[in-house]
Amino acid sequence: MDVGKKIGKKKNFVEAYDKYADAIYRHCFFRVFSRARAEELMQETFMKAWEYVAKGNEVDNLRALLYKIANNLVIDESRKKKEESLDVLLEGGFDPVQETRLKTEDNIVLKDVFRAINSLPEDERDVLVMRFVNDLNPKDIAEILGVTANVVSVRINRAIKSARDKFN
Amino acid sequence: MKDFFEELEKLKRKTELNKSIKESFRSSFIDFIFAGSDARGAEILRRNVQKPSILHFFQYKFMPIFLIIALVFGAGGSVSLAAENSIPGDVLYPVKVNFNEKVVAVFSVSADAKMQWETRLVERRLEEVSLLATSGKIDAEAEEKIRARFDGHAEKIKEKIAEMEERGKVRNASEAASRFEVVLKVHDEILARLQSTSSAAIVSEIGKLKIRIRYELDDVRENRSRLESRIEKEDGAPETKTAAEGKIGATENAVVSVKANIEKNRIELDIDTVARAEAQLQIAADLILVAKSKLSAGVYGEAFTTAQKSLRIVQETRGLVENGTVVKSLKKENDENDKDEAEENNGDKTEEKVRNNSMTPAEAGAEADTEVGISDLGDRDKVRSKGKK
Repeated sequence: MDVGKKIGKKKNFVEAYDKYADAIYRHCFFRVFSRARAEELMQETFMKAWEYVAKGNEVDNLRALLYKIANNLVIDESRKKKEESLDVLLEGGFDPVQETRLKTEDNIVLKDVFRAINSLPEDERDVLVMRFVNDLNPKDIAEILGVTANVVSVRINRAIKSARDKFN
Repeated sequence: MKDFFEELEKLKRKTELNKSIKESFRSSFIDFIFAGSDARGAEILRRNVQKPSILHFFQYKFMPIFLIIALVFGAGGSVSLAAENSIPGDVLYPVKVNFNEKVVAVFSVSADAKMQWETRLVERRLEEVSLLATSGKIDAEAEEKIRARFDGHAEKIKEKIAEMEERGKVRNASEAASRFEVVLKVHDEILARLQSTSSAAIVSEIGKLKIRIRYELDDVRENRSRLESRIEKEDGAPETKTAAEGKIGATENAVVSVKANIEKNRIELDIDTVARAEAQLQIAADLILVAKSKLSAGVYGEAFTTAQKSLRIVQETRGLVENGTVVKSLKKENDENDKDEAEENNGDKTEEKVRNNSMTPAEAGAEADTEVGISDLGDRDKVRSKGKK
């Protein structure tokens, strides 16, 4: 790869960071519900993505790659926590009110939102957050998850019903 | 009735990435990708496993240090990686403390991560002392250097706890103080055990550091108590209730985890350690019940601090169990090395005697057999061939 292309690739990556860091952070936050952990997962996402590119892999859709990596990281996180029965999350002092612009009364709602999201099966949880937090359309979500848009639509509909039921 | 999606939308609009965090990581990230990286080096380094810390069960906030080294330094990171296992006196030790640890500090962006990294640094220094003491290598110079670094890290931790308190994050500050207290207490005990089995010179060197540890332990205990008093006074807030519930849950899970650890390592641990660990876990379990009753009674601040006390006991127990196995295996390794050395020395003496004609080869062989304690002729041949190494 010539020097010009190398620099171009790196520049594109920095631009991608500027463009997608907030969205990736939000995706992670609504999965792990910890500001600090979401920041770290966001950083890890970009570093892993760069590592993948630096290996010489061609990437057509960087946004999809970033979401794919972020999603895998939060899934690993939630599985690890399941084995430890939420040991780490709870011990870490989950307290979103202290860490965000949320007010006290928001925390009560956030806790219920958190419970509703966490109670969903993994595949529904993924599509729910991508659709309603990250505003991705079914086609984009399908590319990230490696399934068809039709499968995504079905999961979204199931997720909507389940989330509403769990919340109420 | 609130609608899930309306509430989610409201929360989403209020949830944003902190601008200074975003900027801070952006700068580090740019340096990283424009400095170049070798993905093959990263892959090789990723296969290595970091030694677990007594804080490991809440160390999820870090990227593993080897991954960080791999990502930043690529193939050149092999030196940094090798340095990770070094102790004072080793050639690569300066790389470990002046380079590797500073790299990790850069990637620990959030306040929580910075705090946890500083606490881990204290632990690393104390682990180095244990390693040096166990291998009989600790001297005044090494002890002084470690003690100076320990003092520096402890000072930073105290500053960060004070900052947290100033920003109104009293519970976070008390949790950080609690974790620091656990690290100090566990290592104070480990060093006391090492002192009881070491030479006078080593006892003296360890003693100097123990004085510092005791001082910091008293200081952090006092600070933690004061912070907990504040929490107990600010009782009744819904977020305190949530935090107390979370703390109780985490402690219950931790008890289960440490019990499993004890069972897994029962053979490695001595009887006293097991008995003590089990007794401590029972105390922790009793405290959880007290915390729960306070929670039911609406005394949320005390529920939180009681659960935190219980968790501290569990974390200390975990540390003792984990370090009990490490210390025992290190001592075993050292004993085996001493035995090998002694056998080698005896072998050398025997060889010298044969060379000096004061012993025949047959007599030398018989002497070796006697040492090994083999009477069967067949085995004797096998041992002789092994002894020729």
